[in-house]
Amino acid sequence: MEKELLELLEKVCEDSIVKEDLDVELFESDLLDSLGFAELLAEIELTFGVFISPSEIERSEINTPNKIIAMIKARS
Amino acid sequence: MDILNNIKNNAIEHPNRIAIIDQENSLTYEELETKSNHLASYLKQEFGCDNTPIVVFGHKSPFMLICFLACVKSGHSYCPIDISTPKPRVESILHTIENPIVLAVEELECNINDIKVVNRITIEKVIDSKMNEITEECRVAGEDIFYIIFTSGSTGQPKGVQITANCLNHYLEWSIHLGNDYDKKKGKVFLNQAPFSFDLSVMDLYTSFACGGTLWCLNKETQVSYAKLMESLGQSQVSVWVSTPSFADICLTDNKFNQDLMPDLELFLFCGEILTNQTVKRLKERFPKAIIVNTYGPTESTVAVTEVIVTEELNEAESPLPVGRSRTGTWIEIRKPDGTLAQENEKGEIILIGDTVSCGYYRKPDLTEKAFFKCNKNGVEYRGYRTGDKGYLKQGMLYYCGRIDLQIKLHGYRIELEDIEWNMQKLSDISNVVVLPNEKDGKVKSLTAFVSYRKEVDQPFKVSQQIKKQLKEFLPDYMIPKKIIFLDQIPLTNNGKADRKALEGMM
Repeated sequence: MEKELLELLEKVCEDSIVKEDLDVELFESDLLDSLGFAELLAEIELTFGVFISPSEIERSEINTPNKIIAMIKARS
Repeated sequence: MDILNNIKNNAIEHPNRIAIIDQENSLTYEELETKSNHLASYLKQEFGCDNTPIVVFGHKSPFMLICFLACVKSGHSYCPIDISTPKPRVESILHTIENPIVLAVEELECNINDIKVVNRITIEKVIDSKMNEITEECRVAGEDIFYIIFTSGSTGQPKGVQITANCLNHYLEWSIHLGNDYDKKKGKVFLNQAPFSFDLSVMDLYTSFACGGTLWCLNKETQVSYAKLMESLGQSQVSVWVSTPSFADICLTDNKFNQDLMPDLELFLFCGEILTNQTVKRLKERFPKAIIVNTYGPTESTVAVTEVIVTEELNEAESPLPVGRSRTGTWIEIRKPDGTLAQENEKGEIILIGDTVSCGYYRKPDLTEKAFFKCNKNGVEYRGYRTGDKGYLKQGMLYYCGRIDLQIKLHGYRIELEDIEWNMQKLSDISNVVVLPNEKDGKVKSLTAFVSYRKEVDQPFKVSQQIKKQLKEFLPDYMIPKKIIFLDQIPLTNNGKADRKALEGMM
């Protein structure tokens, strides 16, 4: 699952850094903007069947590759 | 249509109806009318009424609207600048405008001598001082400039598109009927998503005023938080939705965004970028009752000039979607590179002629000369504009196919790639740079900069973060390339120009 998610993240962020540094801050470093975030959540739902409602989470809960992995694990 | 009269009549007929509301403040039509009159008296007394433009700096506060109307009521055009604009760009616009006064609704640091910044406190004092009523003779009317909106320019300097009172009034005569009847829009709530410095906002703002509606403004803070955004949309009672398709895509990510959240929503009006089949499909699922309208037009022809209702059938049948048929008062011509008219279905440059075409760029006769012309239609002289957009006509329906030059649309923002390149060249470690759009399904998704760097780059991510940080000081966020690729050298064509085709292959 981790590998698949990182591939997905690389596609959305258009940068391989997300595979190299799993603690990289995704929003502050402009790897993810609002649209990228929307795309990522849609892709996570499609690939892993995990639905994350954007209005029920804070950005700080999902702002690094590691945190996203943890959230998917917790919800699947 | 005379929009200033419409607003005045709204103030008489529905004095207590809310004209504009943001997350903090609201204004009734009566307040909007009297407060803008007071500020207009002050502007006239202090600065005359000579149709010189006045910059209005701020964000979504209802005060912005008081300032806009005060300018035009005292015979001045206004030029809105959003707070997201970096300082050097604000200063560049102030230099171009050359008016010694700025109305600053939000705090503005300005290092230009001889410019008087009238701040929020002063504006409020003037408004409360209840100065003499201003006479209507001063008003901006006919061919006077009503507003100036700055857009990206290929030389790295933004250029100001001048829209006359006639252009705006002609536009509104059409926009009040977009998608559904004027009667259905009367007194309804309109959504404002775009900043006022982006002319998409003219579609919601003045159409709402023309219909005696209420403008529901979403500020930056609300737009970046899904929780706040959904809460605000849920409270809004919005009937007419105006946004870029990208913004609708962002909202669609949240399952709450549907007819239950917004039961009053009757109409989606889209402009500013390509509307995709996918977005329409998802909106139809969530809002089965709402009408979806696609429109097209450059800032130079007052927001939009074509319209089409996107039904389920049309969405199934056509991909990409057409942008619509021209409004009454606009003629569309498709011209081939040799200047001759294209045939039906044949691609060429989209040329617009009609009663909403701008009178040119502010104090840029050379650029105006290149893009604008005059011509006769049915014995009347109209202005024409060469859009630089590629497209074709099929039975009167216009299809958009991208640009013939280096201008792009990203999330609705219009950007000259050369503008970014010019500004990136200012960084001393960058010896050469080419910026390319990254497209998906015909729509620009992000920007990539190819950079030849003077120093060794051992940690590209870190260096690109540094470059982006520096760029933020003088470019708006939406103009900063998402990805930076470092090259020893930018490949060149035989003519010694950057080889954009070769670089495209490297993306």
